[in-house]
Amino acid sequence: MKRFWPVINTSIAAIAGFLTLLGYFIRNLKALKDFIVHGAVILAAFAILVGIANLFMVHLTKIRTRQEGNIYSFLLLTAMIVSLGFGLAFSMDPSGSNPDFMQGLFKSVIFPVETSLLALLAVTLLYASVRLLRTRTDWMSIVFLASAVIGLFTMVPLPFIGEIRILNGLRSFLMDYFVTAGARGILIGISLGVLTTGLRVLLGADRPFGGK
Amino acid sequence: MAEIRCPMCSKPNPEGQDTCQFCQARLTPLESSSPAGYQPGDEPTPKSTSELEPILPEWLRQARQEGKDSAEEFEELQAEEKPSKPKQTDRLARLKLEGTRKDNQEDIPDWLSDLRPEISRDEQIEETFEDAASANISEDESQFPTETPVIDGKLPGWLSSLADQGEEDQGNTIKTEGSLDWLNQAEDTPPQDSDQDFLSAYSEEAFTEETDSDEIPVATELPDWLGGQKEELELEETGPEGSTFQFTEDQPVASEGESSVPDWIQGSGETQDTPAAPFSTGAQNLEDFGSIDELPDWISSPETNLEGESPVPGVEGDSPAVSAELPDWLAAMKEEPAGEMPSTSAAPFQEMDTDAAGSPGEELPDWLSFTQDENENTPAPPATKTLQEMEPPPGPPGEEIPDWMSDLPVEPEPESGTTPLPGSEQSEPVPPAFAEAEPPSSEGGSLDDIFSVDVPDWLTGIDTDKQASPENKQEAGGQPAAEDLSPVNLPSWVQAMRPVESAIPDAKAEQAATADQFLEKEGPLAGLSGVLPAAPTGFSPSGKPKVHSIKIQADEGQRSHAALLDKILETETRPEPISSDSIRYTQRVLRWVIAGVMIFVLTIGLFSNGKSTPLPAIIDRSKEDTFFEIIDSLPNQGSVLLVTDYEAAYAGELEAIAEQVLEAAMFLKNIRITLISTYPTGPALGEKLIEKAEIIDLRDETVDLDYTSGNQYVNLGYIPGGLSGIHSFTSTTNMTEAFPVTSDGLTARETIPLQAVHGISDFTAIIVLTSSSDSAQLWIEQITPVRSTTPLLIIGSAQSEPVLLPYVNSGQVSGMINGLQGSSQRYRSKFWDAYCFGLLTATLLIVIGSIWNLIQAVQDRRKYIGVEE
Repeated sequence: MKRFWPVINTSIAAIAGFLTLLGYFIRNLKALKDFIVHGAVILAAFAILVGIANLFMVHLTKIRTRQEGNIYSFLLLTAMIVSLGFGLAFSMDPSGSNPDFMQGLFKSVIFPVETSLLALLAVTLLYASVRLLRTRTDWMSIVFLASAVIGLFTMVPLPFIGEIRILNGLRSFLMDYFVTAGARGILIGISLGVLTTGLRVLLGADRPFGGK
Repeated sequence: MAEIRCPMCSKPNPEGQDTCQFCQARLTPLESSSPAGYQPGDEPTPKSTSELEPILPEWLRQARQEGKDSAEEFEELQAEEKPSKPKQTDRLARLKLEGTRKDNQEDIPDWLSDLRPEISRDEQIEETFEDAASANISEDESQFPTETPVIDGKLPGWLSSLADQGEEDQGNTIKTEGSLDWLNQAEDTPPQDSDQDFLSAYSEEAFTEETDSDEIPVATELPDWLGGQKEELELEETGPEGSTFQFTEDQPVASEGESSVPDWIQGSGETQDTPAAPFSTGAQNLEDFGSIDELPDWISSPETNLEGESPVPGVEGDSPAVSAELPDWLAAMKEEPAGEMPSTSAAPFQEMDTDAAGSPGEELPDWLSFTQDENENTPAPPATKTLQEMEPPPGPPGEEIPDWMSDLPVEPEPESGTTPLPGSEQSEPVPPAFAEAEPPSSEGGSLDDIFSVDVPDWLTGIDTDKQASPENKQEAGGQPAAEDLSPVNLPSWVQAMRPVESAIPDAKAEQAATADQFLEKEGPLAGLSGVLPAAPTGFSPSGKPKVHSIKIQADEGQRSHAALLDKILETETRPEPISSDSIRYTQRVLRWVIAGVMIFVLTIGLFSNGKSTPLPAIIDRSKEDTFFEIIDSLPNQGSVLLVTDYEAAYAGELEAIAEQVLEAAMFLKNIRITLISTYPTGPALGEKLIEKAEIIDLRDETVDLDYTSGNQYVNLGYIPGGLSGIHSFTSTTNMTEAFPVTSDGLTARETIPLQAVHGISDFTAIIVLTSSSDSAQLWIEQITPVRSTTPLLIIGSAQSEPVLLPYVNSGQVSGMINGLQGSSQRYRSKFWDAYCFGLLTATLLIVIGSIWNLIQAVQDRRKYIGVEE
């Protein structure tokens, strides 16, 4: 069985991939391609549920074994259960107040928390930039800081002064040539990587679903 | 209890076991158990010695061989030399003197003195017989008279009666072999100066061996034949010595004319002077026993001296006179059943010693009987037979042996070898003293052959004697004989005789150097020498060992790499100074200062009302222009797909950008919006974005847009599956079938925004709000093949601009605005001043901080270089 299931998995992946690929070129296979893709979406939706269940069990184990920091696990599980309970309860409400309650819960908890974390990230990044040359004094650090300063400084007009045309021309030059060239190179590399990975999976060279 | 685990089978064995009880392997190494060395004066340890003969050192074997040779020489001398005729008193004196000498260890050869303790290890066995003999003696003393009256000049009556009875009972009660032995003993007996002494020697022996019987008649007068012999004996005392008495069938008596005294009588006295070498064993045993103190020196000494020294005939003369009275203890000794007697003759000697010490003047000393017994190489014959055999031939010398004498060898019945002693109530025959002695062959065997056959093992050599001892028998039964050959079982006397290693340091080295003599110390061959070659064949130890250089064989490249590795490891292993509390405090303060400065600046920007900073000048904003142109070109009540793929953390930036765009579009054209997201929080953020939308009416009053779900907008919720979900959504041709129910539970088909929408291309415009370039790429790549002429607009964060810019330049994206500066092309946001202040302040902080830290880093490096130098 150890050699049977990898062969089965590889065969299914290769067949599904080829059919999906052929669905783009063969019109008769489009329905089959859409069926396979819809099936993948459903599986991904269940994968989220599995992930949530796994998260629940991990933190429940932490609480049961009284590991360090289990209080946070307790808070997480409590919030999860309360949210699920309220969501299921208000979804059964015929008045349709569920969206308002869940929207209010989101705006009052999730949104401020995440925004505050990003604000802290802004301060932390600024502090790291200030300390960069103290911890790592080399030319690459200087170039990195210089490009960052130029980008920030030319992004917006100076207060009470307005834009400096030389700086704006410099920024446009950098964005149109260096940044665009670098971004395209990255995108082309990503595309080639995706293509190669797809072919390896179709040919069975890579088996992310198991097997050697 | 400690256990010893067998090295071969690993099974536990009780402590004290020498061999494994399961596999019979030796538990203790042979070499380890042997003592490191023996110091002079140490008490030797009794060991079994007989099996060690083959492995004894050459010098030891030579010494032992010399001892044996000397014993054989004694026997030869005994056979060759003429029987000496010393007086009984002189002989006793000589024996006493020799006994005194024996006490002096200087006169005893080393090998002989070392033999003593080894032999004394038979103490346990001999004690057993001694106890048994003592018990018998005590019983016999109550039955027999302790003293026999002796009349000077006359033989005891019992002796004469014995002779008579011997004539009468010859062939009936004489034990064949016993008589021959006894005669052999009598042959070696030295002549006595008086009849009493002479006869007492025989009467003693006779009485000793006839204690079980009381039938021996006591005669007051000597028989005629014996009386004649007496006279001849007196003349023979001064006669020439050297005549040899050969008591054989062919030559039973001395030839006529050589001496008036028969040779067999002369030989009887010679025995004391020329004892056989094996008697030393019995003598040494006597000394080893505790009763040796009770014995006079002259009693215990003769045997040893007789063995170790050649006879010296002229030393006697100081010995006291010994009465001819037969001791009852001697008779008791002879009563010992032959079957219970050990093979060695030591036990009877001890019995006699004990009793002889009590009355040396009255009774015949036991040493004399010792001598007689010890001279017997075969077990003692019965007393009656002895007396009968002592009788001279009835005819003149040269005549044939009398009938009773000639019949002696042919008497095969061992039971009849005893004659009841006179006075004994029991008429039962006494078993022979040495029943284990094989009877001589009655057919065709000479007396010499009989002697050679009947010689006990203990007389043939110490080794044979030791083998026959019960102790050795026990050892032989417990262990194989081959194991006794190991060096650990060296006998005590060998241990004592071993040369001190310090005295002969080269002996062991030479032995070890010899390949054949290499002693195995481990394994199954432990204890054996010369089994395996010491070195493999062909090995020549003559050459010097090859000298190997310790210098590393490496070329320059390898050395450079090694140096580089050392340098890297040096930097990695260099201890870094722990930052002090002041430094950490400074860093913490710096964080608070930066945060405080930014908060302060942003607060000022928020309250500046957004007019302190001018809007950016449009230099080359083609993408922004395209974006706003498309928004402006949207038809009224058009259906727009709004993708909200961003996290809540980026909501502040993206909402600030999208609010004005959406407000303007919705306010102006009442656009129907369809919300969808690939982020779990996306639908909620879309709801929030719509709820937050507000417009400023003509009276500059804020008016909320009354957008309700199902009418002005519809939220399709979350699309799982990432790329597959986007592809599935974009590839659908019937939107209401793909999403039959909205996130708020409404039927998608019944909602206004989706009534005219079947596929992705049915939307008036597609607007993607995203903070990540990756998400924007997925939407661009999946929508572009199916969107047809539907414009694709991107509202992204400032960080996604560099990556999405190629899509805009390539035409895959119709229009894009990034960050607040992008939307500010058309709309001035209330956060514009704060945004500009914040960016400028951050830039200044980075510049100032970087310059300061750069200076500090340069200074630290100079200090570090100075310290290293």
